[in-house]
Amino acid sequence: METMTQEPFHYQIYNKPVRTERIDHLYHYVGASKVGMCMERGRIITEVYKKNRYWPPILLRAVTLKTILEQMSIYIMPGSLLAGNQASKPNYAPLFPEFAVDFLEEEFIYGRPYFPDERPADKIEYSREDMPELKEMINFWKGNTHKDRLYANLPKEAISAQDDVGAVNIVNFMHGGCGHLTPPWPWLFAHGLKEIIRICDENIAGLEMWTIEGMEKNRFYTAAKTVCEGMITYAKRYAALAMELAKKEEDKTRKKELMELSIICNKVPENPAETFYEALQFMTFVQFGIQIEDNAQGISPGRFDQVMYPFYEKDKKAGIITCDSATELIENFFVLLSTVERMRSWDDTAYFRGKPIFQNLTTGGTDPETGEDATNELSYMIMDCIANTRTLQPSHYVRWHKNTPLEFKLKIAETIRLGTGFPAIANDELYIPAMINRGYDPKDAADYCIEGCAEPGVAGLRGGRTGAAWFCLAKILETSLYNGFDPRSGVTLHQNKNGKDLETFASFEEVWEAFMDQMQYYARIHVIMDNTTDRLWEEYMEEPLTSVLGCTLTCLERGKSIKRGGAKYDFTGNETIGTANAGNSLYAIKKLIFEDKLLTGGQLKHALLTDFKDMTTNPTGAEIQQMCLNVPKYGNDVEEVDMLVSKVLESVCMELPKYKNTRYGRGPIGGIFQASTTTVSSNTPFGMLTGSLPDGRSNGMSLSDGQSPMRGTDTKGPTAAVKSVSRCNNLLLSEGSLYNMKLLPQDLRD
Amino acid sequence: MSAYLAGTFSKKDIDWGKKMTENKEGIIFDIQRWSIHDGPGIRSNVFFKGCPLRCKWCSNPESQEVYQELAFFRGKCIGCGRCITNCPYQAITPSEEGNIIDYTICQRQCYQGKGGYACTSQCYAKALKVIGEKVPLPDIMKEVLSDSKLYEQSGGGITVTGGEPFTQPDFLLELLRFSKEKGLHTTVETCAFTSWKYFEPALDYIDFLFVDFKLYDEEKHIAYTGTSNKIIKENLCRINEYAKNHKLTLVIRTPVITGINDSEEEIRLIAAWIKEHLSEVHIYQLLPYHRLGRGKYHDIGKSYELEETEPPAADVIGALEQIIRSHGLDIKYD
Repeated sequence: METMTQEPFHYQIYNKPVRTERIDHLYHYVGASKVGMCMERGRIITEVYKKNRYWPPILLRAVTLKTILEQMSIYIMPGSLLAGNQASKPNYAPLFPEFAVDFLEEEFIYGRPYFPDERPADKIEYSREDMPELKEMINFWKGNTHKDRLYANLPKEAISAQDDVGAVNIVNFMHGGCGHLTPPWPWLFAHGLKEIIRICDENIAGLEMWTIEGMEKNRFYTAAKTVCEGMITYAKRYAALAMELAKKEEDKTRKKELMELSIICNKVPENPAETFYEALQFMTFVQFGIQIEDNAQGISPGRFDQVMYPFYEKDKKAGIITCDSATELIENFFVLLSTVERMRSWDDTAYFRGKPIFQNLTTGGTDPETGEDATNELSYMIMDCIANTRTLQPSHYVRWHKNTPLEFKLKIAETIRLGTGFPAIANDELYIPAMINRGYDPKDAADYCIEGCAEPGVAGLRGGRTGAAWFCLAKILETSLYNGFDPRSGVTLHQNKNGKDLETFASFEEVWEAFMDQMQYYARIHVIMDNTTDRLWEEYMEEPLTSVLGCTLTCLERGKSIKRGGAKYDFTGNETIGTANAGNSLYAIKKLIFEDKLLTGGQLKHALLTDFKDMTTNPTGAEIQQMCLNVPKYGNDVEEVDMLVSKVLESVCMELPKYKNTRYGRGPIGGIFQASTTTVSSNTPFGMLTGSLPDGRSNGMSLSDGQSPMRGTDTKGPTAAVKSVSRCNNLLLSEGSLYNMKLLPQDLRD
Repeated sequence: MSAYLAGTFSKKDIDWGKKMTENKEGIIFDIQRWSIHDGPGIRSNVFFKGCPLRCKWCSNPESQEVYQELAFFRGKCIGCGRCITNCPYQAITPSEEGNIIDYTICQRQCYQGKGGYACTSQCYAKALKVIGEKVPLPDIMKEVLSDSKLYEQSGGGITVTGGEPFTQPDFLLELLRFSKEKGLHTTVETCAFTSWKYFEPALDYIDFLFVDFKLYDEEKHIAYTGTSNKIIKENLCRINEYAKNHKLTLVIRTPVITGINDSEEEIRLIAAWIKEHLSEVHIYQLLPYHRLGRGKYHDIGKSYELEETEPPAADVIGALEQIIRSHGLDIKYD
């Protein structure tokens, strides 16, 4: 056995990426540009709002986006075969002052807690010369942003649940739109945006403009048309730029490439795409356009291998593309998507460490028509592209099912083995029935892709609102132990119905009752926060481009945006975290206090409130912590504790769908809340807010992520952990079930 | 294709009619799921306690004695002192560097079945642990079978290791028979220092057998392991005879210890011996010495003689493996 010091990287198997000169150059070109702040979008939107701020919101949003697309700086990276950019430089994040400026002021102007370029992590570069202008911009928006409206609208207890107690959190959706969707690529490629414009014109012509409904629809179609025109202008600007660069270019090959790119940018997205290259450029423009509109995350290319394969096959037969040239184009596409950045407040970065944007590609899976395996040549090529580019964006999923070919499974395993974290695996046999259970048509469910962290949707059919509020079960359990009191903030929002606490609970049933009571209370707060956000988005932040490119056919047919019920399917998600901590803690209480009677509730309560540090008690705080730690934990294939964790999760899954979202009854199928276990990195900041727990976890330590076992407590190896995780009723997690598994590199060696 | 998929799992004539002795108990000290270096596929290792050899490099010193032993994991100790008051024999005393255990007292008392390891009864941190436990066969099988789906998919199964499985021959036989009845692929890791009368009946239930060949020279074998290798060589020849007309994969392994058996001459002698006597062996694998077991000596109050020994360098192993290949033998089994 080699020692670990002989490992080239302790975290990954050494294997050099294979890149063409072009891709390698682009990769380093993007890498050389540090993360920064770009003023342009903020500047343009401020001007537009100064002129038109009292327009009907959807028209205002449309003209804003169109102006941005017409005026923003554009560039084509040296050697790039594709065009598109979100800000003035790679890795620069545009400003979205219409959503929030408070953190911009705190951080950029006052350096509280840090100036963004001095942050301990996720630094953002910026020019101090821009600060007077930024200050002026902030002053214009202050008090009239989305976040300001939210704070003005939310009930006090909801704000307190987020800002004091820290049991739920929607900060992410105060800073941007909701995103999380996949455009209907085949329809878009087949028709082009000019068809959308035509449909809008046709519909406008038939509207009864004297009715309220007619007026509303007129606004929507006019806005949709405006943004599509903006997109076409945006593309044509690249066409002109490519031509200009071609004229100056001395290298003959590059000159030819730029001329070809110019022709393509003139053609798409206005017109249908006819080749693989055109389709890819079309997709690139749409990806950037939607993200420029409202800072949304989870704008996903979706089932890339399925969507692109017909073009690939046709071009290959015609001899205009090869496996190698297509691979290079896809890699170019990946590198281009990796230039996208999002401006997050310092607080928010803790929840999204490592800057995830969630532009998700989903590879493999089944054919919804035949039910057969759908793996194709592109599926394999995508795995190669992941290995070759190793960019943080886009993110990748593969769909895994019974009939996935063994060689593709091996290819997936080889790619995962590199240690980039990609691709993640989505289990068809779980996701599809979970979606059908919520009302998806079986064929639509079979065509699902991941949009965001682990949330499923269907291209062109699901609009919003995946990945809604964080819902911290560990914190909620903590409050139930103190009759609703939160020891850290000193706030009590809701007392247990049985009025008891850890000292006075007479049975485990009473503990469970109290936990359910708090869980239901905070679920209601969660819904209030999400529905208020949705309502305000609908009233002030409508998204004409996201709607018309995200849920094209239903939005056009109904003449309304996603936020008003334009999608075929619409569910509001949830992100449940700390499940393992809550379940393990309940089990420890059950075992230590009510079964083995090693401790009284009073003793445990005192130990928790003193963070296991009081050495004057008998047993001492440290001993009590060890007792807690050594109670069997979820993740070791121990049925009793696993079933309790499963019951905890199931209770959330059953509670949330009792609530309707703001689109219920307005068109879409669904219109309810549903649960997921996506976490991103929020288990760390939520952990900082959560005190000592009966599972033995100390005050402030990170919580468990997703539905994974708590770190360090699954000691029987991955096979036992997988069995525990699969004991959860995953069928109910229709918004996605997430298990993060880490393996030792030496276990994955040859 | 995996052994499982190839159908080798059902190769034996299993006496289905015969009732398994379910009430048998074995002394084991661990069951380790997700074992991927002890036979094909994903396996569960069952560690038997007790071994007739005393190899100086042994990486599982807690496996050597067949009786229970006390381990003290110092890193876990929170210094509450309950063990000191709970031990009726005053075997534990506090000190600046943590508790000190007088293992000679443990050997006279708890190791002889007296006392019941009272020191562990209130050790909430689980720093004190009794190594080795009598476990009924059905309990072991339940744990092993909980990963049976993964065995099917990966071609894995059960691996019986230790210690030396043949120190508990009756129980080993029952465990193997039971495993075959459940359709599991079986692997045994052995030093082959046992009576043939125990080995022979077990072979019918073994799919894959690792036999250690530690040193060629008998005197040296005695010096470093405490036993002669004569019986081992004899048993190997008998196993080879058996393998001629039964489906059994036999793999020879040598732990390569710097300064003891890492010479080219040593490996050449063993490889040549294999070629001469073991027609059914195609794989001869080297296990480079590692120091992962070192801390465990300390934990159970034993001393480690190879403190200064370094793991062999990669190029040393490479050269030795070249010698093995030059004898027409493979160095890997999958």
